[in-house]
Amino acid sequence: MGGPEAQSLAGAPETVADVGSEVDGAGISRAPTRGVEAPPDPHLPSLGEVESGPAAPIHPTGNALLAADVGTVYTKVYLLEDVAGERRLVALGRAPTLGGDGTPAAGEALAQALTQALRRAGRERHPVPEQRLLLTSAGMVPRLAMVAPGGADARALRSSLEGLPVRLLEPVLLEGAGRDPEHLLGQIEVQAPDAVIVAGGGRPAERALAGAAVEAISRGFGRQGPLVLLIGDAEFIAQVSPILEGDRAHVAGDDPRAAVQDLAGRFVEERLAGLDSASGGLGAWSGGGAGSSLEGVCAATRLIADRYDVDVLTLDLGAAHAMAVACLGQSGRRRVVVATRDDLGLRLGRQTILRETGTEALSAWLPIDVAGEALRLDARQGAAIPAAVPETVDDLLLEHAYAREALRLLLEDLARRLGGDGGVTGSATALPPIDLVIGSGGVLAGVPRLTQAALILLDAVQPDALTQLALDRATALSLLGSIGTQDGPAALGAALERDGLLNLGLCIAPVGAGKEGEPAIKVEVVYATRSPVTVDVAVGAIEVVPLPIGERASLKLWPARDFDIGLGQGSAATPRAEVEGGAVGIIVDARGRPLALPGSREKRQAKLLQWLQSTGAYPQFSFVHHPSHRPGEVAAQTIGPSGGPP
Amino acid sequence: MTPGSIVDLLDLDRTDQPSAGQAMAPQAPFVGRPLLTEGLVRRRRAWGTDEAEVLVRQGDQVSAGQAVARLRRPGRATALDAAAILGLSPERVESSLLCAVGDMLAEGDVLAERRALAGLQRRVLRSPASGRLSYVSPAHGTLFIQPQAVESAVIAHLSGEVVAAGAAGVMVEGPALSVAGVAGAGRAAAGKLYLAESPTELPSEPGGAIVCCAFVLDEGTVVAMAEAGAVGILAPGIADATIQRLGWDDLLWTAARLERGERWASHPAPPLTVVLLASGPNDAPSELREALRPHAGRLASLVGVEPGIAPELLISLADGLPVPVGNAAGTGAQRTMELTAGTRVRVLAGRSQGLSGELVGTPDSPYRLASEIMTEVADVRLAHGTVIRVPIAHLQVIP
Repeated sequence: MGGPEAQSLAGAPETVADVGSEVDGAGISRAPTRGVEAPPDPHLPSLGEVESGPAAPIHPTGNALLAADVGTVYTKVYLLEDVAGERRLVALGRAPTLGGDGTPAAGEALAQALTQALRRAGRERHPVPEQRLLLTSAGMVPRLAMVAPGGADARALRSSLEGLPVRLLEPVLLEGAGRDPEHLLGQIEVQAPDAVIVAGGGRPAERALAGAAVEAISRGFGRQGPLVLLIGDAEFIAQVSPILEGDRAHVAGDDPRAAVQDLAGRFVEERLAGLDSASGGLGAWSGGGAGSSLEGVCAATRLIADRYDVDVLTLDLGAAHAMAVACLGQSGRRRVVVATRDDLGLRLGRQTILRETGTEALSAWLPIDVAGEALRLDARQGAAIPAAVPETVDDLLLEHAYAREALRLLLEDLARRLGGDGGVTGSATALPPIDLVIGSGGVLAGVPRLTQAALILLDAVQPDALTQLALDRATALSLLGSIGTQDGPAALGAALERDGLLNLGLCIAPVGAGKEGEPAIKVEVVYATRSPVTVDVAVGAIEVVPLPIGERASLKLWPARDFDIGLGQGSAATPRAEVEGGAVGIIVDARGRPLALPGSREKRQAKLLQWLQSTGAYPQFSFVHHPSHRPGEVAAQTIGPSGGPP
Repeated sequence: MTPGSIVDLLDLDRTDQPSAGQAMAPQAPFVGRPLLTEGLVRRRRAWGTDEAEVLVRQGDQVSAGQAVARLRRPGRATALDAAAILGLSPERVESSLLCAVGDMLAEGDVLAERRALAGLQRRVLRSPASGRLSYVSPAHGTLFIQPQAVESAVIAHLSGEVVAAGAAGVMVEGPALSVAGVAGAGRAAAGKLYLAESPTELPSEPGGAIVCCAFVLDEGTVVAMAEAGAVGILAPGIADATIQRLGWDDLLWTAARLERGERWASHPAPPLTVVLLASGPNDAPSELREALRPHAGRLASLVGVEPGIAPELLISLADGLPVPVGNAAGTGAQRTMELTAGTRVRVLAGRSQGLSGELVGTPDSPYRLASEIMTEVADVRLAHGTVIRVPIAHLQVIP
């Protein structure tokens, strides 16, 4: 554990059972800052060249770990070492994954990121730890088509795979149109999956249908076709295996989950080979093994849910993918449901987001006018120059609007999966109550103000009552999950968890209906070391009450007559346990559920401005806003002779 | 050193309160792809899972337009549930056929005929597509008609020596001038290089040529050049309205799909190979015109989207032109670049997209943009003397 400032997640779960759920959050210790790093060394070390140097103040032990995560846009290297008996994240480095010729060059990116990590750790050289870990998220969402005799088989199959970070495509049902082999082949051709899962069913007639489907896939696509994963009893497997040529068949038997995990592992190897075709030197990083970052994020979510016995929702928004992981239910019977999209990433997926949501839905999150043409240009730029950064507040607001819409699309998918039909019929249900929402991925981790990440999560999830918010500020969640999976939960010390997760704060969201401006809730925050603060938050408003990291406070909540904070309308609540401080504070969100934005453009923009200003999420934003410049028309910040403004 | 919070790990700005803004994660050194690269380069020619006949061996000398492999893509067979259509049990389907496995069929050919009820009821099964009857399933009564395989050639793209050749690909090395695109469509195509300063200067007979436009690509140019048989167009940029009219949003940005690791899907084919140097309606920098002018009429090769290669125009210099010293990319990709004062750069993204100028300097420490994101920036002097500060990630060295 850290010093007295440290915020603990590791102790006994503290409860706010009076208001319905047990909530706790990740905290983080704070230490004096270091200076800005020196420019990177142009002579990059390869892993084999990294040696022990005299400058290293910490002597790595058996707990030292060098980990790398190869992403679509950036490759990161993490250095973990023993510090005061605990494994800690000591430094991380980052370098673009693409090389100088515009194609992936992961080997060089790893070397460059390692150099940066070592410099951040304050040393020139470093002994190569015995333990190494290589992860990748680049192109790592396997797309799986499903062919099943009937809807029940498809639901069972989807249910067995719901906890895996794969994209399950619409099932083709053999009791319906899929019985026609040409229809079946056409559907699979359109879906362009990495693999097709064919479920054999239980009855002879179903096995015959599935056998015909396997034959159609084999004969229809020939050697150019996708891999086929056979699921069924021994009789079905024996019947259809000979139909498939060479290594195109994978037999899952009655354990589709394990088979799909094996398949995903094979994709990781293939993908990593493709990311470093020039040097082929990634093997030294992993010591022969590699894993999926997405699986790491899923594992971390499970570990956190188990450790604190809470319902957790992780939202991971990368450059090329988006993933929601819900871990719900009681300990020992926890259900993990994952929704993954390989086309909703905040860089390469902007065009998909724009196409699926439309300009109106995106503009609804902007307190400024943005023309449809500008949105399309921005979306194309995201695909062409994925490392581009938002320069102005307008750009940042637009990026965050994309984030909200991407998460909304993803959560719709998750809600369908959580529904009783496993998403087969496409009917969505509302998300169940969540205790802890974790934001992950480059866009959320890189927000200039942490309140922005909190607002994006709140607007996407729209949680009720009390919900803790946390941020994977170091984009290390996948690493934590991988360590926990590999070495057991005990390997994830509380300190290491703190290094990865940043507690943003608690959100209090009363549910009910009322007139704009009328009282929705009164919140009293009783601090341990200073005078209490009481805030009245009106219907349609959102406020932030300071409760910094390191502080604790007890809460008293008085919802208005028509509002509910978990104990019924108008019922006051007093959480039994103290609340821990977070980087943002306590957020009181009385904007209503579902969040309804005014229909008229002027009113909607005014309302958004009000929310942004009351939370201090963005720099001062004028009500008399000058329209954005069109790209290419006006230069960025003009510099005066001294390097500042002219 | 003792590790502290994540704020320390990332070297974040600790001067503000947490809620008042902390900067983004670690700085990255400049890794960029210059607009123009001249020197000895290597290019990988790969073909994924397609059946390929490799036509060259290590040590061979090849020309940019020469085929290094011949691909054969069989295509998907059409499946016909003959048993259901004819009302027969699966095992009786084969005996009812009027043709045999291996026969070539035209669309509409009669495959089988069944008469019932003393000839009163007649069911005819016709081929829905042309191709070869490849298989008749005795177990399910399904017919499979395999279309003619599509054959295509993989060209070398670069004149030079084959330094490696294998079943999965070929590596060619040679001196070349490369022009880096940010988006594109279409496979590698080689042809004579034409330069056009404006739409009125387009070649009248561009058959088999690659046309380099110095102007924003418009619909008329695309249609005219495609109809006249040009094999490729390089353009500095394209307007939103043009993309909308051509319906090219799904065509030009397929590199993103390749990044996602699509393994199996085929991409839509454009009427000719297209490479864009910017995602917006940008004009060509003067350096591009100057660099390309001496090469008009020479053999060039253009790649829009292919596995393992980014969009580019390549002009091979293997046939006698001197290779400049000091500007060679080397046989591997040059990863990091030194941004020194005086370097010519252009802006590819953000508020200043389309502008170009001369690098004045790069501040030692990250800079807080108006968005409050901390990032490495560079000061760039524009032609009229104004100095702008731009994120390095938005810059491209011309050079």
